[in-house]
Amino acid sequence: MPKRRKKIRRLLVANRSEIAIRVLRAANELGIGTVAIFANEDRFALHIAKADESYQVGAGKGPIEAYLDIPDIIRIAKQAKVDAIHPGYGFLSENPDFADACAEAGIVFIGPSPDVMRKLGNKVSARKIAVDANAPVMPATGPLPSDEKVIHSAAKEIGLPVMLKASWGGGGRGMRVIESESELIDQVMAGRREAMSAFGNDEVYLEKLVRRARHVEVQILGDTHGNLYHLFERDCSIQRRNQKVVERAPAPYLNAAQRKILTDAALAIGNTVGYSNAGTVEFLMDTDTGNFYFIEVNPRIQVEHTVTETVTGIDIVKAQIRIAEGATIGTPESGVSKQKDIRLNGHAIQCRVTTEDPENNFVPDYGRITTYRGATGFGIRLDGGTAYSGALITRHFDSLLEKVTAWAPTAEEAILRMNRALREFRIRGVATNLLFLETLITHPKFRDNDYTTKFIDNTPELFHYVKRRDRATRILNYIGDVIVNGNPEVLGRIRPTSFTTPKDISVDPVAPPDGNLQRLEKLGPKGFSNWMIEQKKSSDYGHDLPGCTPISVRDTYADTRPY
Amino acid sequence: MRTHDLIKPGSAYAAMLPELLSVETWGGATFDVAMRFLNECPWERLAKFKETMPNMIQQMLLRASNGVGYTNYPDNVVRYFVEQSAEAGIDLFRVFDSLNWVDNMRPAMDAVIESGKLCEGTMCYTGDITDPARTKYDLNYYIKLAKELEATGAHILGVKDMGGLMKPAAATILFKALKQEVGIPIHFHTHDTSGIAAASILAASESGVDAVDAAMDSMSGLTSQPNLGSIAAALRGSERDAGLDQRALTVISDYWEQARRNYSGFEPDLRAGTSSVYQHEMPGGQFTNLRQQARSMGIDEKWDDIARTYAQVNHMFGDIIKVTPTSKVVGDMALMMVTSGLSPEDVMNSDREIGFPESAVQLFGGQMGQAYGGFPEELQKKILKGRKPLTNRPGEVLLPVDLTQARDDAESKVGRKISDEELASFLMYPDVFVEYAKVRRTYGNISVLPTPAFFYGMETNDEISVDLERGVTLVIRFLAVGDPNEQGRRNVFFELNGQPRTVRVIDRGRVPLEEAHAQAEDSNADHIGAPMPGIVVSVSVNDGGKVKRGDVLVAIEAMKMETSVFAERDGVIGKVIHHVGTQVDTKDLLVVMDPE
Repeated sequence: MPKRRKKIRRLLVANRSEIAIRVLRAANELGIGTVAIFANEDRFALHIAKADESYQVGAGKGPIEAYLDIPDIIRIAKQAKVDAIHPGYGFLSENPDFADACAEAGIVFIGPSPDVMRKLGNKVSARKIAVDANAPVMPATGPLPSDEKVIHSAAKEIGLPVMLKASWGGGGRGMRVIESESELIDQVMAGRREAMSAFGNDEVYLEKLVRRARHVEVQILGDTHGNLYHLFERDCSIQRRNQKVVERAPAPYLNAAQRKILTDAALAIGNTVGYSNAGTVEFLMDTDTGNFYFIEVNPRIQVEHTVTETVTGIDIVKAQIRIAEGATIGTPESGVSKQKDIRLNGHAIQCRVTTEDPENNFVPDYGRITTYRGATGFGIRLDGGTAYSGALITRHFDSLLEKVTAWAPTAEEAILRMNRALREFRIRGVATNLLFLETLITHPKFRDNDYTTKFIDNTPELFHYVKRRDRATRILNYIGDVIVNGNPEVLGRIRPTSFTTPKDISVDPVAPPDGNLQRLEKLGPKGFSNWMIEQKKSSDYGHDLPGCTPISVRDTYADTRPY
Repeated sequence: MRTHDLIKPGSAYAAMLPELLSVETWGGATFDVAMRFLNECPWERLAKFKETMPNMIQQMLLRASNGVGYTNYPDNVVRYFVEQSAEAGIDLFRVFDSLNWVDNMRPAMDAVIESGKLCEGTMCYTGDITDPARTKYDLNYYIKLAKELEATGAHILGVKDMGGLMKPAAATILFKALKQEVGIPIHFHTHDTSGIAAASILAASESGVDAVDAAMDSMSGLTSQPNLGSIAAALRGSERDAGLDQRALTVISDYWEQARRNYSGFEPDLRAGTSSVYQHEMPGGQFTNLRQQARSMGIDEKWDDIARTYAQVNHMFGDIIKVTPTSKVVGDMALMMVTSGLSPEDVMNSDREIGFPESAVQLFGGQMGQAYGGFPEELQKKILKGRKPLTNRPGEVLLPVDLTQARDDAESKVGRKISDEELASFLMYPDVFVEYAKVRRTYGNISVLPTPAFFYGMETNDEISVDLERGVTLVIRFLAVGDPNEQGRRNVFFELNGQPRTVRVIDRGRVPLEEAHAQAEDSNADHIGAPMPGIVVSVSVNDGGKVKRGDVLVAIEAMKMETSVFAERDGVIGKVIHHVGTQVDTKDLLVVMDPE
């Protein structure tokens, strides 16, 4: 007997940038009133304009801390009389304390229950669940203590190299590969600090590292009535420093049997904890053996949910809201078809356009975007939030500018379409990874699905691209410099009283008559020399040849050069 | 003149004046000027000439072992430069030596002949063969020299009258004699400084010269060449009619007249020819430059003095050939004497210490080659202060340049791969090329800009169109300049193809006084700089603290990515510059180690 649906009327998005806009759009389509929050640094951000109302959060705090300020978010939510909060990804999306705080305030938290979040959000306990669900897991340690000796012995137990991970993290932050014991402690410390500032919790652990691996993950969607579906898988192997760069759905290298093993494992894990709402079950696939290893469950919407939406036609964010309202999946009111009716249609690729400078070790660039021209057209979806002409990119937040998703019936065509879109983009004022992405998706190994998570690290030619010329901006910079500072070559010289555009006397580029160059080519230098002498002799003998006195003309104006 | 203006009439020449023996489009001073002052690539310019004039012979002036520079280069550099020029499309090389020393011309001439292009062995004309008192450079001198040049295998004999000193009667004597004595065609090049060079051209023509140089009407006269249209008109109907289309000459001359107006700031303040050239014998190319130099030194009113001293210096030097680079030595010396108030006697006075210009030391040291008749010994001793002068070819003494190493050097300096042609530019002018490459990197190819915008920027609401390449045109309208911000930056507002565009430009007149963060010096091993921009999130060391190689010193975070800065050696911390929370930029100095 389905619970009665509790209609959400006003929704607050506790996030910023593109995912805030994505959620606000979904709420808009559902006729739900929308409330945005923003840190002071974000007061000109675009997501504010997409909401009915917006309020500054965390006044007096740093930009990140503001979005992590649970009491202040709850205060705004109450004052704005919202009945639900969507956390987006990152920030508080995986923080069960926040979900608890929402519940205490009588506000629906759009996501799994705090209990499930606690079980899955902590990767150590998530492992136990995977083991219980008979899903394959990667050897790993428990949470690391502060005792350096214990850390050393724990690392030794699973064997180097290992991966350092933040227990409460995601999105690759705080993750580090540790190759040797000498760097172990420094890396653990740095990872802890990063985890603390990104997630407010510095608990970290170590995991075995598979060297030739693919990253493949399953989108799951469960309701509060015990139904759990999968929306197939995504390939997210193209990563740099464990941050995903290019994502696609479906994973082009899986056959139907492998796909079934994978999705079954994901559902088994979800069912073990009674998972509800949207989540992602991540696996590593050993490229050599084809074995899958469970990594973690992300109990939230993912950055790359777009590609799944594109190939399944299901609006995952709207489904999240409806599920939170109590909808039953597989019914028309949920917007989600029955599992058997959910099919893959074509192929989708997402590229994350960032302000990272690939030529400078991907250090994020910041500054004002002087020019922004996006790319659209059939099969292209854009999810943006910070990029527009005049936008100021600050160093406070992450470097994502725009997500570009290309859809086409086949993977080959999707790549061509993505390439077209990337080439159409013009972003000036800050460095971007556009050219790098272009080089990446057109690389033969990408096209042939011959890649692992180390593709970017191990493919130096990805960095040997021809720079986009950006000729217009540079020319404008020159003119601007002359306008402001003058050209030193004319300093102290008399300025012309007026300027002239010389009349165009150019002749249509049809082939001009043969001239002395053709004669030289025919006769060679010695023959040409003789011909010159003969001109006079001919003349002496009274033959009237054209061009008897070859005249050489000098036009180079060398003597009135600027000097 | 800029490539933008030089290229435009090219197709008109090709279509309407194919009878011309050649067009001199390259070489000489233009190579340096293109890069140094116009920020253009000379090779790109040459490629455009080839494209617009596919039927015409492109001629260049080559200063033999001086290439297109002002100093003797090793033989392999000269050879490489000739090879690249021939490859890029120079069909006729006019090769001369500034001391008429044939030995010093051989490497360049041989390279030209081997490249399969036309080699014009050129002798410079100085003195006056009609003056019996001027015995050093008499008719026999030139005949002997002409035969030497013919013997080198030159295809054409050039006579280069850079000073415009050849009087009409001298032309008659010289060219009649040369036509009898040598079997290769003869080409006469002169300057109109005196105002009667056209008469010498006509005399040469009557005496059987095979080719002469002239400049399009609106670009002719004074220190340039005599007037092509007038010479063609004078010869029209005679047996030496050049067959040039008068209408074509007019159309093209009109173009140059208009194009020239945008360069009026560079026009020398000369209004008439001057017979004083027969006294000072300055080459046309130097005349305006030296005058400009005198003006910039504030001794313009002493111009007569300078011209007279120039002639005295020539006499002291033993009456040498004066053309780049030897003319520059005479000019430097003359300027030095005028500014220091020295007479020739003062200079020769053995008790008097004279600070000779560096160029004079080079000339008398034999580094520009050997002078005909040798250098005056007494002056040479004084200038060289006892050092022995070089008596063989500088090219024999100079070590060959390792071209691979030079390329590596150039590429590391400009931060990119360079073409073979660019390597030739670097070999000629290392510093100029590197500076040019820097500007090119910052602003792209600015040779496509209209000339007024290039020199003077734009006025509010000016609109220009810029052809980046065929079919790619930018329409640029300038709107306004904003006020400078605290860092002295101004916004400059444009419309680009109808869309608003803003660029930020540093107003160099308003650079802020506030002190910037100190930068880590690349060469200083004790300096530790920030590897990226960001915020200092932790400092693990204190002033005076001991560290071991690999210890974490400072951690920086930007956009949630933390990077640690490690000690590169064991040592003691001298000073920690920045503290937690400081915003730093790449290369800002973070920590100074005590020296080892």
